[in-house]
Formats: sequence, structure tokens, C-alpha cells
Amino acid sequence: MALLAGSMAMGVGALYSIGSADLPVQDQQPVRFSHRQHAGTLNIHCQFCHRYATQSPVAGVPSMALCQTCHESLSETTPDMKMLRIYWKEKRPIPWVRLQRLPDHVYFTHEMHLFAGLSCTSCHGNVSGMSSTPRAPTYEMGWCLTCHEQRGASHDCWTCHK
Amino acid sequence: MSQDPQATEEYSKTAASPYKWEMVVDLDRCSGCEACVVACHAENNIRISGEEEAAEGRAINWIRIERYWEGDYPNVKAKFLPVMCQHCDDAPCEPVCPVYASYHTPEGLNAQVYNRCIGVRYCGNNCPYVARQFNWFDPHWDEPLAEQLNPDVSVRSGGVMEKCTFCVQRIRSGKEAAHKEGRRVRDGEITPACVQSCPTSALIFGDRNDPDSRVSHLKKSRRGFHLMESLGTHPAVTYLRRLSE
Repeated sequence: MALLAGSMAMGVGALYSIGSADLPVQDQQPVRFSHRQHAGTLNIHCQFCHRYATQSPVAGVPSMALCQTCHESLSETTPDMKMLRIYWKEKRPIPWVRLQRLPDHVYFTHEMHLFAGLSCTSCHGNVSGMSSTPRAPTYEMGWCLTCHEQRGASHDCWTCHK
Repeated sequence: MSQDPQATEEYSKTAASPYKWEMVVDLDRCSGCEACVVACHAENNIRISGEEEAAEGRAINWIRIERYWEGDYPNVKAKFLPVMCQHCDDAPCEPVCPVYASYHTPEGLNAQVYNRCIGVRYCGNNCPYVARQFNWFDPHWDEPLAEQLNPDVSVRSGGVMEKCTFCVQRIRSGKEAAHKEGRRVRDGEITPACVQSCPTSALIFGDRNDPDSRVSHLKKSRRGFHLMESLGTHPAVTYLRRLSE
């Protein structure tokens, strides 16, 4: 028992020491939502669910009510669909794990990037082919600037730093 | 995204001339109420300091009202002078920053990039207007005040220099709204928190490059002057003298 507790403590310690937020094992979602199924096979437009992308800084995670517009009339063929129904019946929100988060000193808006003609895949990759959504490899300043340079967008620090 | 081609063309024509932000402070209108100071604190997540810290000169205000007493009792008059960062065209704070955290934006703003700042405080020492304020401590807000922080403004940690930004977050959103409609920002569309809250409209903000803007007209006034004009800092804040001196 002591050995187990010890190894657990070491494990947790290791998680913290290497930056636990970046570990893919922690990216397990409470419901195994598949973008491949929704955006790929069913060909649902990104902005049907992420509906604030064109009008606000954040794209938005859909409400359960929005999921239910389709799922209400579907039979529960998979365990995850059953999970979704349980959340809905118990009136609990799904505690999604947030994968992308920019630092506090960065100002980013989906609105203006879509207005500039970028597509979702330009930054998020081919999400419609992903059965589970991984954490983005990098949203760092150099990566942003590469595109800003190519497209002649602003290089002023205060365009993106606040 | 579909864009109206005509509107885009219209914008690209006008976008060739950048904005130059300017503020005018009409001293004849200032009643020294400090509504601007309060609004600035709320808008820009400025840390709250107690009496002790203030006495030690550690309190932070991006805008302050300087008060001057004139005359002898009983004919005493209080006169007020709001002072914020002057966003100098030739800013003494900019060339001394060793890490380029302090720099001039193309729109004439004197910017501070917080995540770049290493806290050497050269800029603060070089500012003749004492507009730059250093965070000697990490900020703290008692509950529920932490809930009212503005998400569009970074919370600055200890060791970082900060200053008035002319509410760059409001400028940014005003520009974005105009850009989406394919036009330039209209005069009076963007108001920094201090300008918005001033009950006597003593503060006016706008684009100096727009010849029809209110600031362009007001800054030509015979009452106009700049603070410490002899230093040659060429501030972007113009003061208008009192009518009854």
C-alpha cells in the first residue's frame, strides 16, 4: 500500500514537474466526441456548432441544447451517445477539457481572422479527419507572425498584445 | 467570408493614411471630480493600493488630477490638471528600454508590452510627466472585485512597468468594427474610459489625421498648449487653457 501511495505521489510529482497541462493523457474528454463523425462524415459546418466564430473573439463550445437538436431524435447506438443522454437528463453540462488556451497577454479574435478570409483548417488543421481532437502543437508568436508576414497583416505589437 | 468589394476598395483607399490618436483636455471644463480616475481603474485592471502604499509612492494611477491652490483666504481657488501619459511623438521613455518593451506604434501611441518588460524602470525615470508606474507588488483584488476584471486588458504582475494606453482595447475594437464595415473609424466612435466618464466633457479623443475631427479643430485653438513644451517631446495630448485665469 505504501509502495502504491509512493509511486502515485511520484507520478503526480512528475506530472507537475513537466508541465501537466501539456500532457496528452489529460486531454481525455468526458464524452468521446468525434470531429471526424460530425464534421467529416456528416459534413456539418464548423460554425453550426462553433457559432460565435464570425462575431466574437471566441468560437464558442455548443450548448447541450444545440447537441440535442439532432441527438434528440437519434437512438443511442454508442456508449458515448448514452453518456450524452445522461448528461442531458440530469441537466448537467459536459465538463469538456479545454485544449487551446492563449496566455493572458495575448489578444486574439476569431472574428477578424475569419473576416480576413482564413479558414478554420488554416490554424486548427484537418479537424474533420480527427476522431479525437488533440491539443494544437503550437500557437506561439513566431507561428502567428509567419502568417502575418505572408499576408501583409499588422506587425505592430499592440495588434495582438494587450 | 464574403466581403463587399466596393466597401473593401473604399477602405483600402482611406487606409493608406493611418490613424494618429490625440486627446484634448479642456482645463476650463475640468471640475476635478476624478470620475476619469475611477473609470480608468475599473477599465484597465489597475491594482488597488492602500493608504500606506500610496504614502510610499507605490500606488498606481494611469491618470491623476493635480490640484493647485491659487489666491489667499478667503479668495482661494482650486485649479485642476488631469495628467495621463502624453503619448509623446518623441518620447523620452522609448529609446532607453533595453528590451524594446516600450515603443511607438504606427498610430502614435506610446506602447508598453508587458510580457516583454523586465522591470529595469529606465523608462519611468526618463518620463518627465511621471506617467509610467511600476508594479512593486503583485496585484490583488478582494472578492468579489476580482470578478469585475476586464478580460480585454492583461493583469500586470509585480516587476512590470505600466501606463495609460489611451484604452487601446477600445481603439482595437473600434477599428475592427470599422474594418468589417469597410470604412474608417468615425469621430467620437472610440472613447477611452476617462473620456467616456467625464461629466463635463473636458476630455476629447479622436484622430488627428482626420481634418474634420473634434480634436483636429480643438488643437488649433489659441488656448492650446502642451505640458513641458520646452522639452520637445511633442505630446499627443493638447491642453486648452482656462478662460478665466
